[in-house]
Amino acid sequence: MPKGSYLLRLLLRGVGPLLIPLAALAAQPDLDPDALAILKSTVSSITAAKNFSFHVRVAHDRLATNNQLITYFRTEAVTVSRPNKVRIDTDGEHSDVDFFYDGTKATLFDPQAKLYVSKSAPSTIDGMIEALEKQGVTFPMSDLLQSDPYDSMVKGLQTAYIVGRVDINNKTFVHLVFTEASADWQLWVEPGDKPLPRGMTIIYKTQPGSPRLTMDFTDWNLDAQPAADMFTFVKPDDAHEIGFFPLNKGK
Amino acid sequence: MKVTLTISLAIWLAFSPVQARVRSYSGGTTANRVQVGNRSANANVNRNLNQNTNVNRNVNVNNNVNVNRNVNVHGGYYGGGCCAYHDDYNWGAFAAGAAVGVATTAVVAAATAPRTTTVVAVPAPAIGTVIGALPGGCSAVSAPGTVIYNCSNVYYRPYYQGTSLVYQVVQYP
Repeated sequence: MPKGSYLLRLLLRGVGPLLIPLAALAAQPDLDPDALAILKSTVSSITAAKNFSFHVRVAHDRLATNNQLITYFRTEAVTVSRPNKVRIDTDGEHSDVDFFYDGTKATLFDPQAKLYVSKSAPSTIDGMIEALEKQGVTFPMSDLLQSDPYDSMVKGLQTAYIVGRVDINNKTFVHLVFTEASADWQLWVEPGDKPLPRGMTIIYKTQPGSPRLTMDFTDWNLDAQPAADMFTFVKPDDAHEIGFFPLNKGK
Repeated sequence: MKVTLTISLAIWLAFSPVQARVRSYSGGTTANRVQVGNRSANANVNRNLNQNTNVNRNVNVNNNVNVNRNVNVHGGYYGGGCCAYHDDYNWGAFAAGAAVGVATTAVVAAATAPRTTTVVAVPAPAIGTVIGALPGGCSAVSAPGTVIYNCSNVYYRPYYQGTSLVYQVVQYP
């Protein structure tokens, strides 16, 4: 081993730790307080609602083996009764599944295959979402179901800007853009007394192919009157109970 | 009129042996069948595309690529179509995935959608293979704590993975 390279390594080892705080300084967040204020009031419209429902059309990319991003669509009809009831009916490519959460149990049921998995769940929506994520079950709009998602949404933001107002289909929206370490996301908000999200796009820039998730929200009802029994799964006679696929132990 | 008829007959006679040859050719020597099998299996590539695991849940899509690379069974594939140029188009790819121990999400990436093509002479999937949809012609068999599907004597156990159903080939009974 040449002496020079040894010295170089020694030098790098000494300087390396110094480089990390320098990099952190370079990446100072740049957050427009107006953008954050609009985000906060939008989230508040939803967290303030006790019973609410909406539809969301989800388009998400998956990287195919030929490195092409393939886009899949599905629609989800979401009904929430705070603090502990959720129903999501999903209809899409490879994901026709209904989700029930009644404060005690969380159930996924595919009405075509007549297969369901049902687990006891924490007694709040927040706890349920967290428990299901550990099981590998996630919903793209789950931030909007939580009791106070604003802090977690802005945590780790690197930039937050207002692009401006934009007219889409004769309606005016405020276009917000955000970046964080692993994702760039955009939000289109319909202003008003209770501003509501109409569109959201997330680009997972650290994933192979930088796949995109797009959500179009419609039919917001912040004063829904859900049927009391719609959150509880009632097993059809011909349905079979199955389990979750075993997760990797390393995860 | 009579002349026309004669000519028609002559044409028919002239062409019918050719037709017969063509028919016997496509009906198949063994080699020909194998080729059909490969092509059918090749349709599986498209199913792979359809059932990649959720990218937005940080699933290791890279593993999937590795699985595919492990099985370069057929070299010079004829190509064509929009998506099917890969070398991972038969059950062997799934089997190899299971063999190298990526039996969870990585292999799910090699999953299949419902069969829309006639599959000829495709070897049975290996135990542990995970697919996204059952082939046709399955019957449910009751089993403790779950249900098992018998699809032409290949047995599948269903699971939820995330919000999606997957089916794993299992030893049964």
